[in-house]
Amino acid sequence: MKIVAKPIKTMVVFEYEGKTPIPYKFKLQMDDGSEKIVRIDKRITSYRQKIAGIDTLIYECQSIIDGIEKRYKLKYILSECKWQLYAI
Amino acid sequence: MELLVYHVDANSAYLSWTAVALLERGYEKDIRKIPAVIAGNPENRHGIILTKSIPAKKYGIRTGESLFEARKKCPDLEVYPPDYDLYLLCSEAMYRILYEYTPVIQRYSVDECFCDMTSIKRAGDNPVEVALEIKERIKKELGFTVNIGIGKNKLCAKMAGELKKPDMIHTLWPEEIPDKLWPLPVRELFMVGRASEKKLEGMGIRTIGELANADRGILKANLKSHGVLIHDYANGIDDSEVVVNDDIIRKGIGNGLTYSYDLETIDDIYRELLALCERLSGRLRKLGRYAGLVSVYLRSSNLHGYSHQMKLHGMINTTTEIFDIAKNLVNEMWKKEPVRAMSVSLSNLSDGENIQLSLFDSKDKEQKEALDKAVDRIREIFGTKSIFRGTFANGSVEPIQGGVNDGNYIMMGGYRQ
Repeated sequence: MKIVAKPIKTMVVFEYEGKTPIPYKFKLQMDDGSEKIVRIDKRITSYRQKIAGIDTLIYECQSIIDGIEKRYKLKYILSECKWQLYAI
Repeated sequence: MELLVYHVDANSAYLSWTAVALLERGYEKDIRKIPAVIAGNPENRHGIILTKSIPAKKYGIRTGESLFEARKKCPDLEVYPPDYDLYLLCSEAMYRILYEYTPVIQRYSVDECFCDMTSIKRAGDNPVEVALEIKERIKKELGFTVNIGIGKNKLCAKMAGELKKPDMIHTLWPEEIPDKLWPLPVRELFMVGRASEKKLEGMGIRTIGELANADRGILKANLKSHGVLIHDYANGIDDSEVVVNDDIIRKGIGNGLTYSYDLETIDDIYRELLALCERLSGRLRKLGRYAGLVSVYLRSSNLHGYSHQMKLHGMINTTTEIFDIAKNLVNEMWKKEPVRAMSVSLSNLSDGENIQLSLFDSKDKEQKEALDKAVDRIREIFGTKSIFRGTFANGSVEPIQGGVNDGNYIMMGGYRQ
């Protein structure tokens, strides 16, 4: 996997008990300006990461993108409330 | 029981922190592995090298030299700007990890700490194994490398930490001093600077070992008490304790700036002075202190500097009162020449519990204090720039100036304590 750190538009569920938020699908802007919608088929694992002191949540997920099953990581930056396609 | 001290030092701190943050943002190069430096913007006359990568070091680039000089040595040098907010985050995260091992930590600067680890010795753990665990955790969890020096006092720990970089652990026990410390050039010793090095060279002392075995009386005659101090250091003797930063008694605080343009009119000077006082008085109030002495330092464009100070009858902590006194001091000393740099300092601090009231206190002192308290609170919640004085509105002068952190410790290496 390679770090890409692309901003994404994300649909996330925050539960009653305030546990780790669960992302469901996201939109990604392609180079030609079009948007691609990706449904998250499987959330394999999630963990907290503090690289360079920046508090983040990392989700390892899997989806079928353009007919190919792919593994990738999403990142939620807590201090900025931003979601990213972190690595693919 | 003998002390056990760790000295934890982030390797080329600013550069590796910037490198890690860039990699996280998908940057394709690791700037730790190419000739790169962190430097200020040359257009604002801040083009000084703050940190260099190890490949840049091989070109002979040194911290503190100008970008122009560095580019002459290495034309493909890559330059990145500093990001102090990021550095504070990294420093805080490093400190958090260390805090899990010991509560007695002295933050020496943004990238260096002394940790009193005597407790692990008491628990029977191997100091090197614990240091290895800390080093690997910082690398894995935070993404940057540190050097850890282990010794029985702060000096030995610090000297051990400087031995070989990066990403290493060194010990400097008393029996290792002749082998590890003594062959090094005397300049490498803590507290030996350019001036002492020159004097020592005149006495035929070039290595730390020669200093350690030199005659104490001769050193004292030539270098006064400093000679005795460095003689002790060369022998690994240092009895200072690891002091938790909150316990360091602050004698005074200050704030100053060197401007990228000259201040020519009194209005310009007042405005910049007010911006300095805003930050400074905010810090004073955050510490819960009052000041009894204000001093102002000016440096003109021909680099001639002078200062004035005033001892007060009462104690003050409001921006307006500090600014009024600073203004008076400037009026008394300013020689109508362009000003390049300016600083304001406060001392004779007191805790605010027992304050001598003065007949000359301004009548609305309590109101001013309440106002500043409210302003501080607003800034705390909504950010420093959420509220500022009208004089700065639509102007080019930043309303609050100077300083990159809350002033609790200095940013990079240094001696002040």
